[in-house]
Amino acid sequence: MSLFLCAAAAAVAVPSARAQERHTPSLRFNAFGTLGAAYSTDGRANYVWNPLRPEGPGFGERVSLDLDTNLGGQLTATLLPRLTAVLQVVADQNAEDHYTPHVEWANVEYGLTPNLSVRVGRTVPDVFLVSDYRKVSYANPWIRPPVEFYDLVPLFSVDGADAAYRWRAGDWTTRVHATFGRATADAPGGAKVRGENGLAVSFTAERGGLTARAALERVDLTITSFESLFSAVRSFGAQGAALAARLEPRDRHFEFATVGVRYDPGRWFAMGELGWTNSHSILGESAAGYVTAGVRLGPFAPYATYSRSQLLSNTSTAGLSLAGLPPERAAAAAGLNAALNAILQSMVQQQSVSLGGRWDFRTGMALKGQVDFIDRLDHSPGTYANPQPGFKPGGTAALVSLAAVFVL
Amino acid sequence: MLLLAPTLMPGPAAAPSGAPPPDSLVVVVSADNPLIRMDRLRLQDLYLGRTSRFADGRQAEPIDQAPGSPDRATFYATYLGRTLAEVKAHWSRIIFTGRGEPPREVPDGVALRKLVAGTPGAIGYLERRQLDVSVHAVEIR
Repeated sequence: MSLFLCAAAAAVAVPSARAQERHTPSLRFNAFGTLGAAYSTDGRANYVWNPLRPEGPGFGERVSLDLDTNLGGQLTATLLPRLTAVLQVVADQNAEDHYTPHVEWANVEYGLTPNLSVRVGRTVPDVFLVSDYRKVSYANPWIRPPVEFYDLVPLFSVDGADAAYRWRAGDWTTRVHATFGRATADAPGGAKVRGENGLAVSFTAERGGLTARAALERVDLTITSFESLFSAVRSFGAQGAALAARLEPRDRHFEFATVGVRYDPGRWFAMGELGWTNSHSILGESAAGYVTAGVRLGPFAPYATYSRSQLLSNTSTAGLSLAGLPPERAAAAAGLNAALNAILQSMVQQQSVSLGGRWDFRTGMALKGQVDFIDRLDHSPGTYANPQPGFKPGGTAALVSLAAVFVL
Repeated sequence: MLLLAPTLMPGPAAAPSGAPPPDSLVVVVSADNPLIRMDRLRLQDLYLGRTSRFADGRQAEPIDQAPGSPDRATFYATYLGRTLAEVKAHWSRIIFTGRGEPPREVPDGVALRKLVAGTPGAIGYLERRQLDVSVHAVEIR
């Protein structure tokens, strides 16, 4: 009898022990990756999806693996019931065209209340609909997020602290998320992109298949690649100093605002985002947006995207006045004016129509194909970098991409 | 009578392919749980990680069957209108941004029943024929 009771007690104890399973320290490993190849019809420059990436299909190699290929691994440790640490390391093409792994996320999160949590360390603010998981191709319909829009912002990872407050209003789940910190990134040629005093605030509301988001961000932005150009400009006295003060991206307020909506009831999906940035510098003021829609036919999900980026500020400047300058200084000033105008003219202005499809051949793995019909607007090189002799800014090009993606 | 109830409601014979017909799959909570019915939207939000509470504010813990279980695919198709690949993509967005983890998994309906029966806030799904007195079905509206 006592044996029976013991057995019964043990049987009762099992579920409660299991219920506490979540509160014991745990360590989980997850991974994601993309093996992608892309072909560009334009061979006189390289298609890149970020100005900080130097290589892509086009010049030198018509077919490139560098545009989309990546591999990421993540460790998530639950140390205490409300204390979680995340470390995510990603290898993808960097500014030096290497695949040296870098830390994308490294933070410790503490849940102050069930609704309020704070994190300290490196995070990626969720300002755009997919900015914080833009490298996880499996989580997105496309091979890569629409470049014209996701190119608006040069920095994603932030070192600092954030706080998220989540609450429920009827059937709506809402979240306010604020991130404060600094960010740095390497640019090709040894230059740095630095953001100080960054503040990003996003508001997200979800109900069923609907997700809506609005976000604001401001950061003091410095791009060191323009240093020598503007120190030359400043050598032209008061007018040089005034021009540099207006155009040099050094500790300059960079602001952007964005709204995005996704609707995904299951059988079909649609999403779109609009964004506006003002760099208060030579990088100008831009607006960009895209819309994507697709259907799900069993394991197949064909989709179409229209995306566009446009400069709102001038693509030219009068620059330094040559009046009254000695001939050799006037020539130098004219050279600087030409350099400034070349930069203004190289800002991304582009639209593209993309047709693609995703085949989920097994859970956790998918194959994707996409064709982008690219239209470079207003004589802009668009998202083509590294222009070679014979490259014609403006005009059209096409990009054909294939990718195998997975998550683990 | 209570003891007999499950045997009075025999489920349809298991489909030969292994995938149960949608109406034979029920959402269950522990017999002690007073929950009788639940909005479909709330069930979706629990299984997609958007809330961790029942409508009355009590803590809820969704339980999943293993990825290979045919009940799992049927559950997500029936109650969330989503394929397992879509659900996997959804959780990828949460995992790789450090915002949570997917529901705890058990191998099959029997293991799920055992876990749900002994866990006050647990909610899960199993085939109607797997119901017994330790759990009760929740009406999803």
